[in-house]
Amino acid sequence: MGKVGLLFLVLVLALASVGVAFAAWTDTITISGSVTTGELDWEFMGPIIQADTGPDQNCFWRLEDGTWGTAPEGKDVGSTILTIGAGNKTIGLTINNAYPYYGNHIALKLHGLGTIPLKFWKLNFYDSNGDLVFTAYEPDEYVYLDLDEDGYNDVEVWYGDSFGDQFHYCTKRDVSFEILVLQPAPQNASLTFTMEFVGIQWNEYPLP
Amino acid sequence: MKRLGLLFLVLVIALGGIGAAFAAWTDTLTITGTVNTGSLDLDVTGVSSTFVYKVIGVPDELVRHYGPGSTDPNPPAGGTLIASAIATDTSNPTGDVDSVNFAFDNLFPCIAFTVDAKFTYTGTIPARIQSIGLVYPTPGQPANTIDIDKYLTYSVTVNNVTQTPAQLAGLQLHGQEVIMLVVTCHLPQDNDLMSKSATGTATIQLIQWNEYKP
Repeated sequence: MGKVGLLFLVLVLALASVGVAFAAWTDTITISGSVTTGELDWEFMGPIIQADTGPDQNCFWRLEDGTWGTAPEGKDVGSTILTIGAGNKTIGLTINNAYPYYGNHIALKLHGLGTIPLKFWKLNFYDSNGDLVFTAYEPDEYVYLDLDEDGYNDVEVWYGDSFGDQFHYCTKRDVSFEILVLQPAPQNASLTFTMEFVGIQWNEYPLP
Repeated sequence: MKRLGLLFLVLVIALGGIGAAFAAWTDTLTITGTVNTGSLDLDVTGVSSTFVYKVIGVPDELVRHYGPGSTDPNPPAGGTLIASAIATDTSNPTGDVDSVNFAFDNLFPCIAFTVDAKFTYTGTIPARIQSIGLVYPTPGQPANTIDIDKYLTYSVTVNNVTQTPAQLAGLQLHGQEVIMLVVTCHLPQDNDLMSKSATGTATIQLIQWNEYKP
């Protein structure tokens, strides 16, 4: 019975000491955090300049080392229509009545809008089905596109420059590309492709 | 066991690094391109044929009909068809292959057997005549073949303007321009021409005008 009484006493003292701790005076310091994120943003900027302003431009036989010149007799057979979409995020490019070796050189501007720097990372090319067929990370790429998936390339695109360029707010860069219709392109067809310019936050730009 | 744990830790850190890279903010601009191609196409848009009948009671007992089509819409009453020159549009239904067949049958002297074919350029880009090839006689013809080319006369007009063979080479065609080819066979009085036959093929090849090489 003596041992049981001693244990009880110890338990009472222990509980008492805990009670003292809970009842202690306290003071609190609070840190309130607020994070305002920046924006990564850029846009296309006109005016868009193109080589086909009347007589067609022809290039024989490929863009790599082909010979550019005005179409025979200065004929104006094909035409290219370029429109910047709402928000300046898209450009519609339509070549009408195209024929083999009709070519065009198109120039425009990329324009920085965001609050954090952006670098031009890569250029994706998609075919008519939306399948990614090529990604360019460096300038001077010649991209062949088989848009009707018949095993023969229909269009060739050359893209020039500005990979890795940094865009702060209001920074602008001239960029240009060339497009050439190739001999295997089918007649009376509507062929589509997509070029996607991808910008990335400057501090995560992977060197090519 | 410790090495396995270390490897696991390294993998986790590496994957975490990749995840951070993939999670970077990006913004994209898009150019959507559409290439609407034109066409280069010469279509057969008409043919004419000749039909020669024996008709009792008319001068020389002979009636000659030359007119549009591959059949005679108004054959003479009581007439017997003796000979013909029939032009037939043998193009395929889709228009990918354009062709005409001229069939001269049971010809005899002193009658003009005439056929014609009208070709209309329906392409949307200019074209030039690259070549006109004639394969005659057809290889493997029987021994009784005659040199029918001696007895044929040709006439070609483009938009109603007569063209010489030299003018046809490289001739440029635009939308809805018309080539009319008229071929007439007129046999002389020569017994050696009886019971003979001949076949041949002519091919007109067009090329887009910007790739024409004389």
